[in-house]
Amino acid sequence: MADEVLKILLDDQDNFVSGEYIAKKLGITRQAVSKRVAYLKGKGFVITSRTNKGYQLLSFPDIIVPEFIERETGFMPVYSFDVIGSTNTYAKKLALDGAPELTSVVSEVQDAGRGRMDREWLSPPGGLWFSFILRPRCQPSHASVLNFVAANAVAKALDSVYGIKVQMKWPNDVYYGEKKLCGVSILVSSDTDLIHYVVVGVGINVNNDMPEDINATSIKNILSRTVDRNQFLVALLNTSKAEYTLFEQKDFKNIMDYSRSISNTIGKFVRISFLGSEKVGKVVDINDDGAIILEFDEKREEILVGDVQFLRPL
Amino acid sequence: MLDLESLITILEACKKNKIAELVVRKDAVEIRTVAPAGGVAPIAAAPQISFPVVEEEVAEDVAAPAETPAAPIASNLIELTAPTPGVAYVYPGTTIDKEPLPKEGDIIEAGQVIGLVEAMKMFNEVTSPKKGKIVKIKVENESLVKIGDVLFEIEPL
Repeated sequence: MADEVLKILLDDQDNFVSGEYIAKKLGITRQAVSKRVAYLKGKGFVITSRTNKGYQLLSFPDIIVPEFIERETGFMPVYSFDVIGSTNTYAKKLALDGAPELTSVVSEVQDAGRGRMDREWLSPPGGLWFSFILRPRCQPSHASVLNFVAANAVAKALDSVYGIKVQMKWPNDVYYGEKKLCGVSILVSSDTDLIHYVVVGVGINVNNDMPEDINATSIKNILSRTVDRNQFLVALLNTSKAEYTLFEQKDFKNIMDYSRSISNTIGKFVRISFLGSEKVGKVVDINDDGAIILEFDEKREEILVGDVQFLRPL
Repeated sequence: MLDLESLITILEACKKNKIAELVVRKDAVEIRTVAPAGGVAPIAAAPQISFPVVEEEVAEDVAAPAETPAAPIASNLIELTAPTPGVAYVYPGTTIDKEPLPKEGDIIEAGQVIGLVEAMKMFNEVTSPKKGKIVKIKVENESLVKIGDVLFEIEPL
């Protein structure tokens, strides 16, 4: 639940806020305010208190602060957990209960993190593991473009906050060089012609160290320092909202133009495997629906499903 | 309500605007029209292209006019179709949260997930709008489906 004392301190981080003011505003005693401040300090918030002046919030601990995220992004409510099975599963339950668009779920750790259908997904502490609910008013067949909405948002936030330039591997993996930095998992519930809800799940390696021998990296590994995850999540949700606005305007070309510009898949010779069968050819383009245009045996085919494997190193 | 006259108007509009397929649905009644072969310019290598679906209310007692290619479903079965092209996951072989999907003969609740269609690693859940019985699973697990392909026949209860 949102911490009202924390919210007031967040509203005026440049100044001291008096205990009396907080007590009056929330209709509680000054003693209760002081207790709450002690609790926040215990969680790792750095708050100075000065006689006759009050309290001032100086810094956050390295945990996601939902009150801050809500205030800076408009994504709300933000449900936050220390540990959860999977943010996607929880967000799905909220969506079924009628939660509004932009309801979000974030967890420090996912212990049953998986894509759909029980695919394994590692989510250790230090990363960002979150999901949000969308209720787009469009044909279900257009929902595939949401992969690119999410991946574009990640790429733009990484560039604007850290100057990290990433590439996108079709359809929704974000790579830094040859190493995976972020994955997206999207769940759609729809009728033939109406989307009930969409859950967009994003997992990014941020302050978690990735072992050298696996094909993944983190922001910390790239920058050689830890970063402020709250600040990055705010940037990412804001780029997500901007990309989603394009989606709502059905400006799929604009979305796909950016995705194509950072694609590491276009122009590559690939093997696309799908349930035991495979196709080998050259990716000549990704169309505005998000499908791969694969050229092989002098013909072209649209590809919507399958795992892409590069035939030559990146 | 949809009378014969407005049905014909819609069909003419489809032809004029080169709409290949139209589904008109209300509750358990569905009227599906498909343009005759050659009626719409074929789009090379783009079998997934979909057209906006115009929805109209249909009264239960409307019979399809003989001169149109429309074919109403005889019984009150609900057909659940693929919302997007992709790979269909149905019983058996697929689990969600370690539970198998329902099989033919199972009673399902409104909103219950009974199948999935994957496109671009994105999973579309197929749910029934009503409580009912799965009469028929019309596709094989892990088969490729086109938008609008019938996946399930449900008998409402």
